[in-house]
Amino acid sequence: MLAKISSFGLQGIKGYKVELEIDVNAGLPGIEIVGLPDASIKESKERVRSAVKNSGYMFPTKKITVNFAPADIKKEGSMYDLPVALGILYATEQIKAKNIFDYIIVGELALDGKLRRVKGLLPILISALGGGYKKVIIPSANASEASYLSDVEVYAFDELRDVVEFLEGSKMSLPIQKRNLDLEYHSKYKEDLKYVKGQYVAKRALEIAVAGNHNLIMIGPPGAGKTMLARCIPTIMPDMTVPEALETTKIHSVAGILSESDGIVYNRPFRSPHHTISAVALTGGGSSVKPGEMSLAHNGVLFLDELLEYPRNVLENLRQPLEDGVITIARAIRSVEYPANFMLVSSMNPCPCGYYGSKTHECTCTPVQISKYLSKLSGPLMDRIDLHISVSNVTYDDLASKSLSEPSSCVRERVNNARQIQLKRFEGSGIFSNSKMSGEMLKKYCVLDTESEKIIKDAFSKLNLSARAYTRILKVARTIADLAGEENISVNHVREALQYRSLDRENIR
Amino acid sequence: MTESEILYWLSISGLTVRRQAQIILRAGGIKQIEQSFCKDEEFKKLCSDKYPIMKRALSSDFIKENLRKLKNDEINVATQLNPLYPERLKQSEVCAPFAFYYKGNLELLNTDCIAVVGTRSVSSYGKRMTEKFTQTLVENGFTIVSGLATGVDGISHEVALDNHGKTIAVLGSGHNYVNPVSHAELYKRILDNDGLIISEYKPDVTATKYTFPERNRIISGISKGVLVVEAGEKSGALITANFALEQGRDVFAIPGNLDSSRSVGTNNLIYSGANLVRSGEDICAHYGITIDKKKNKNTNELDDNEKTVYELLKDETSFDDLVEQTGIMPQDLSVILVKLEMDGYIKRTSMDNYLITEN
Repeated sequence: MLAKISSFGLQGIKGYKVELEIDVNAGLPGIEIVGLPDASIKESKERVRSAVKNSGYMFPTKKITVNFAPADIKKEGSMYDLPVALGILYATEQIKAKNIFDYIIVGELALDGKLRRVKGLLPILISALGGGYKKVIIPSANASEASYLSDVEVYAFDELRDVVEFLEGSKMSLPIQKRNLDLEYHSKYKEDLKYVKGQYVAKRALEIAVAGNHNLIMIGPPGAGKTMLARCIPTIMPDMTVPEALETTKIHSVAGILSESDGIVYNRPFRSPHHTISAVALTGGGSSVKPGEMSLAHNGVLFLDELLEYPRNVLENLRQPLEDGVITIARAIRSVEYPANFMLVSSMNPCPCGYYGSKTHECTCTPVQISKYLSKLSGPLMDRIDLHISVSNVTYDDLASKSLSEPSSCVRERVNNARQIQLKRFEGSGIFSNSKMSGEMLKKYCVLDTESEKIIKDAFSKLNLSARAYTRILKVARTIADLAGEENISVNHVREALQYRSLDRENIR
Repeated sequence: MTESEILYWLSISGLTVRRQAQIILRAGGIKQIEQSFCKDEEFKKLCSDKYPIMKRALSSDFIKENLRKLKNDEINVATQLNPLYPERLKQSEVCAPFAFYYKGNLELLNTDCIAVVGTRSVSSYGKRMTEKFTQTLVENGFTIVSGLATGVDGISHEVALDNHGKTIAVLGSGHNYVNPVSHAELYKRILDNDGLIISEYKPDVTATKYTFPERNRIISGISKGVLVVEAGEKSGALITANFALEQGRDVFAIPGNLDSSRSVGTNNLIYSGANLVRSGEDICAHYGITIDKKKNKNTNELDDNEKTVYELLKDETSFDDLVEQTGIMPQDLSVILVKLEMDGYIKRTSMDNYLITEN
């Protein structure tokens, strides 16, 4: 007898329909799996056999052929255990119900017949919905993830037996309850800007950066507080929109790091990989083409502390995402594209010994050493960083003072307001922040009055600015104006934007 | 051979200046050297290991061939008989070369020269001081002499040229192996701007740890005075200061912070009696040149906040300190600082600090 069960597979964060054909015939007992299965699917034979037996069903001593269609795409993952088991049960007439064909079925099986969580369920559901499939059977461990989509009936179960009884009609089961997506800030961070003393330029620059999603680099001596400031960023980032949250959740689901209880990524991710990270771990890849840190930071922040400690080849990989917002991982058979639209925050020392410009320590570097060190930062990478600020050591008096600075919550409110302005401005255009404006949009939304134009023009000669810095300054000025709640960019917004171009002005002979 | 050719010939024979002087003394004069060569046995002993080379080279063809090679490389020779060879250099304390190789304007040796020397690993303070002092000296007609090294030397040459001034570089190597390699452009720039580059070493001689201290005596030798900008405890610049003392030249030193390793040498010099100078004007005054008091920029066009910030920046101050002292909001302060910087009232001294500019 032949059974055809519908399931879904994943390529990157896109799901695609997989049709499982299970045929039970006379022949030497055994399971033959065809359709380019990967190692974990080949191993599923054992899981299915034990699960079926331990659930109280009979495992046939006949030849079982399982075909994964379409036959020319490599199948990966462990979500096919459940549909294969059900297919075998149907093919041996242990299940008679024909309604089994109405469902998309995914789930991993434990040896005792219990259902295990599947990675990447959200993208699967979204793609299934997109393909017109309205009914899905999943493990209950994935229930929270599935609870945010409407228009689809999702049934979650704990074990194989429950699924069979549901399909046969002997047990009632309701589809899981839909939840409303509440993206309010869930504070789980201990850091807060109120504990950061001094550092006024840095704090202001961080506010501008998160408001407009601008890339930022902090330059300063060791111990100045660059890492501490970076850790405060999650406490002031604007709330995600629903589409942003879903995109990010898809990626985290595929990577298997989605919280089981939440089922959704509420807050913008903040990823800070150590500089010993490999290029593959940063970009994504490996034989199963998993998303890397850059994709896990999608719609959030990627923090690279001590930027110049990362190997050159690793840093080169930043270019595509910073430019296009995606990372393409190419393999011989196919390439997978993952979203990677993150805000880059990094830190570095101003010179090899770290103390150039410090008032407390003497810099022991020669000008040659300094310019050699700074040149490690490649031009193309620097061009994509909108804000450069210097962070110096805070004096003891400041540190010891008991007065608290402005708390993160106040800053976050201003940031959210500025972000709302941007969402309204860019509605329907596919972007969510000033940093992503195209040339056209710049012309439309960043009109400068004559005085501002003159300032920028002067800045190019007097402050040694490069032509590439022009669009960066405009975008930052636009965000500064948004933070001030003003519609038009004025002279002071431009002046302030010019403040954050430290590295352009470094003229070491 | 002519007298000057003999002097040149002595130089290329690979004899130290002292040995050359002994040879001339023994022979009784430059003209007599050729004769003594053939007749005097003692003389031959004096030349010892160099005698064979000298004998071989004893032909005017040899000299002419060498001079032709030099002409190819555009290098000129000036012997002590050249009218432009500075008298000050001929003092015995200097042990000056009998001939040196030069490119550029030899007349500069007749001008008022001040040597500006210092450490190779200059700090941002040292860089600022070099720029400030050099500019004032150039504006008052001095020719800047230095060693084309990295650090203070290079900066002083560049600033002199930036201000349309004259500069002389004394090499610690031959002309064909300029050290450091990164100053090849500067070398060219000096020549393109009517400067002078001299070396006592043959064109193909590379720099060694001996040639640098050795050439320092020439730097001080051709100058009226030596300004040491910044020097560590064992800096080569102190050797130049020592030579200056032996030669009876003026030594000027710029003080630095007591906890700055790069100012230990200069502070020591001051303690030992060198002239403490606070500006280029002090050096000029030493030579009888007085200048009008410099005025700070007119601050009438600035508003109150801007004036407050300007006043505070008469001392180098950091951004954070300005916020604390004025109470101005950081974003507004950024606006003020950028405006003052672009209008030339202040400058950024390092990543985070600001200071007023002077007219």
